[in-house]
This record gives sequence, structure tokens and C-alpha cells, in this order.
Amino acid sequence: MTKQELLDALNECFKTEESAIPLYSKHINSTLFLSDFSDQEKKEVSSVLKMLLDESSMHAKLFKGLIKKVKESDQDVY
Amino acid sequence: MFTREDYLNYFESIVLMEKKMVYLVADIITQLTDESIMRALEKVGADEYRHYDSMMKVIVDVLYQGEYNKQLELNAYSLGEVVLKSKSNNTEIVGYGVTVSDKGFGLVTEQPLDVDAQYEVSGALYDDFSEITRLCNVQWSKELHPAKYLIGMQYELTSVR
Repeated sequence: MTKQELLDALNECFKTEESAIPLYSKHINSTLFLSDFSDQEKKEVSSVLKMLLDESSMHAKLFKGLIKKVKESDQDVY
Repeated sequence: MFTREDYLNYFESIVLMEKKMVYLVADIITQLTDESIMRALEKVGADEYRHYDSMMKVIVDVLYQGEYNKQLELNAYSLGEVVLKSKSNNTEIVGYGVTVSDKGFGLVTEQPLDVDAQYEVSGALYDDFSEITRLCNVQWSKELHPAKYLIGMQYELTSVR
């Protein structure tokens, strides 16, 4: 894989992760959201959304770091 | 107020996002020789599978009270049905398109496919697409659920119609 191909692919991943973050956080603090569900169900959904939000933010940072590392490297093939 | 359909649309959009990430990351890994980047992306790929499974579990447990049919998920979230004809023995299997790009298809099938095996893939992806047929090689195959496999396929340079 060439350096440019890898950079293009990592940028696509970064953009996708970043675009996912607002989707996960959209309802996380809304009191109306999940109001029809039981406490146990609310807990399950909230816990998954929080995990997705935290880990996707972490992935976006990781992709940003990888893009920087590849850009600054002299390596041409990955 | 949120309706059941609002919840389903919201959860489905998350499932689709996670599925897209699974394919994006897997496609990079199959092309890499650099082990340090490969290791970092394998961890991300594993996380994305877990995210997908967690969100599917929410849909099954919360919206369908455990009675959700995985086949419905395949039909509802797919781009359309595709037929894979093996170039080595002419057998046919049916899959569901989940992603399409300038490099290849992402599919879900009910059986694993051998990496590097060659198939003629035909299908109408979305109702308004005319049927397309492409010669493809299997890049990777990963079990998602029992009897459900995510398959990454790359177009051969010479495509057929």
C-alpha cells in the first residue's frame, strides 16, 4: 500500500469516526429520549451510546495520530 | 415524543455507521504490510465489531424483546441481493450487498468464502441501479454471527457484464 493510498484511507476513517460522534451524542442527555422504556432498558441503551461516544472519540484521535505519523515519515510503502 | 420507528431509525443508522467502519478498517488491513499500523487498526477493527454487536443487541433486546429476526436485519439494511457465481466450480450463493465503492463490494453471506477465491458478483444495488456484474476476488471473510459472514471483495481489473 503506498503512502498516499494509506493516507487517503486513514482520512476516510477519520472523517467517518468524526461524523459518527454527533450521532452518538445526539440524545444522550435528553430526558425525553428513552422515556418510554424501563429503567433497565434505559440503562442498557445509555451505556452502549456512552461506550460508542467514548471509543469513537478515541478512534478519531488515533486516526489523526496515524495520519500525522504517516505524513511525517519517509516511508513510501506500508 | 419518540415513536418506535424513530428509535428504530436511530439505532439502525448507528448499526450502518459501525458496519461501514468495519469495512473501511478491514479493507486497509488487508492491503498493509506495516505491522505497527496493522496492529493499531486490528484493535480498532475489533472495537467496531463490538460496537456493531452491542447496537444490534440493543435493537433485539429493547425494540424486539429478543424476537428480532436476523434475516430481517440483512434484508432491511442491505443494498440489495447479490448472486455470487464461483469461477472455479460454477456454484452459486446468495449474499446481501452492504457497501459498494470504486474498489469493491462489502457483502454479508451465510457461509465463509476462501480468501483469493474468484466470483462473478451480480445484483441490482438499490432499486434505481441497473443490474451490475463484476468479477471479484475475496479479500477477507469474517464471522459476524453464527452462519453470517462479512465478506470484503475487490474488483478484478477486467470486469464483465
